[in-house]
Amino acid sequence: MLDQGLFYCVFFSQVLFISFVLPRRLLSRLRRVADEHPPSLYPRLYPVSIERMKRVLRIYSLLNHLVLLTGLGLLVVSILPPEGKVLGWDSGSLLTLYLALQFSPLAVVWSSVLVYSSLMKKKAGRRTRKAQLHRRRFMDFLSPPMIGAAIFVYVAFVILIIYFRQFDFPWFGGYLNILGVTATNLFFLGIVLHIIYGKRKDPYQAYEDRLRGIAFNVKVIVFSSILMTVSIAVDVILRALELENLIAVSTSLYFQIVAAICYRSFQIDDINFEVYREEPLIT
Amino acid sequence: MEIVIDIDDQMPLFAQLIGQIKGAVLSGELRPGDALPSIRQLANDLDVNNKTVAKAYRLLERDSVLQTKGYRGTFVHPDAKANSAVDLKAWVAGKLGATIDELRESGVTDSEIRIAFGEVMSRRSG
Repeated sequence: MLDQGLFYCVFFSQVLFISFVLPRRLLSRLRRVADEHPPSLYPRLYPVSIERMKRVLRIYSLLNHLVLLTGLGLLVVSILPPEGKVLGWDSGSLLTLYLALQFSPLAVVWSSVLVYSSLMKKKAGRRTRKAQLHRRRFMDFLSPPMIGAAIFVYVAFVILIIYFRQFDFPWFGGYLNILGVTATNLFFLGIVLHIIYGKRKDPYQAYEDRLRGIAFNVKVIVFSSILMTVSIAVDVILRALELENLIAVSTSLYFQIVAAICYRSFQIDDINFEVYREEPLIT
Repeated sequence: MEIVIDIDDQMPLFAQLIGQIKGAVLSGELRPGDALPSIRQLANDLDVNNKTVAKAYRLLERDSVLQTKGYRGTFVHPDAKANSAVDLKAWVAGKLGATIDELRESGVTDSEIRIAFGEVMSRRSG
């Protein structure tokens, strides 16, 4: 009963945090950008009309409200029945399904951002292209303690799985856990390499802003990788201790932290917006 | 140090890259031992084909302006400054000019020189 109560609390915080608090913050930042940098002064910032951009933000806001209401509805429905199940779904499955729903509004915004970047590149159509003759290295963006932490957590996870193999748990996937975590970490590594060496999305972005963006995104991914490994390790330990009811709680907390970090990546105060002004006419 | 290329320029992109890197070495913006970006990084940043940057790096390596140290990457050669000052184009023109003068003095016509030059070149590259 206590576990169920804890799950409701964490689920409630997940509903509010991911579908209300974070979107509100993101929207207020985006509105601030539009107010402080209007299309008349910063035309390069707007590959499409500002009305079209605002429409996407309205859709984002509406979707978040719908997801928020759905979450609160699910919570009410799940508290009422004594068995704590909603339409026969257990907490874990419900959480996974709802999480996908919670991130869908962000996917709408992200797909629009990709379209805008491509339009921005097309509009820029620059005959001259610039690049810094400065080698970017993996280690420029990550501190040794952070890399050490990622390696330590991974090695500890491998040892944990090897240790648990001696017990004959029917649910235990054995080395498949190591395979899954390794594959996911390799996927994360691929994203990191793409961020550091891949093509830039914004043709006008100042190099310092780009380096700052790379550093932040790389840290977010390494941090997510560490958290993911810890979260799976916690799941295995909770199952072994027969505390399965707490797995949903730990998963929910994991995604709330990841969401908080992801949303933090959009910081506008340090961005050099001057690069988005119209190029001065040569007289 | 910033590299700027003009995609509409008559000069090929790899030649623009070579010229600017040599210029940076001569002006002291690039010093011996300085690390250069990887081919992929520079190609992506300039939004050009990897082969363009690879060709520029290969020719600069041939001229001992750059040196590749295996997986560690590409660096400015210790003798880069002296080697960047060498005008390979002028040297080739001088050598060819002297040979052409000698052939003309022997009575060989320009068309015969052109045909022979073409044949020798195609034999060597084939």
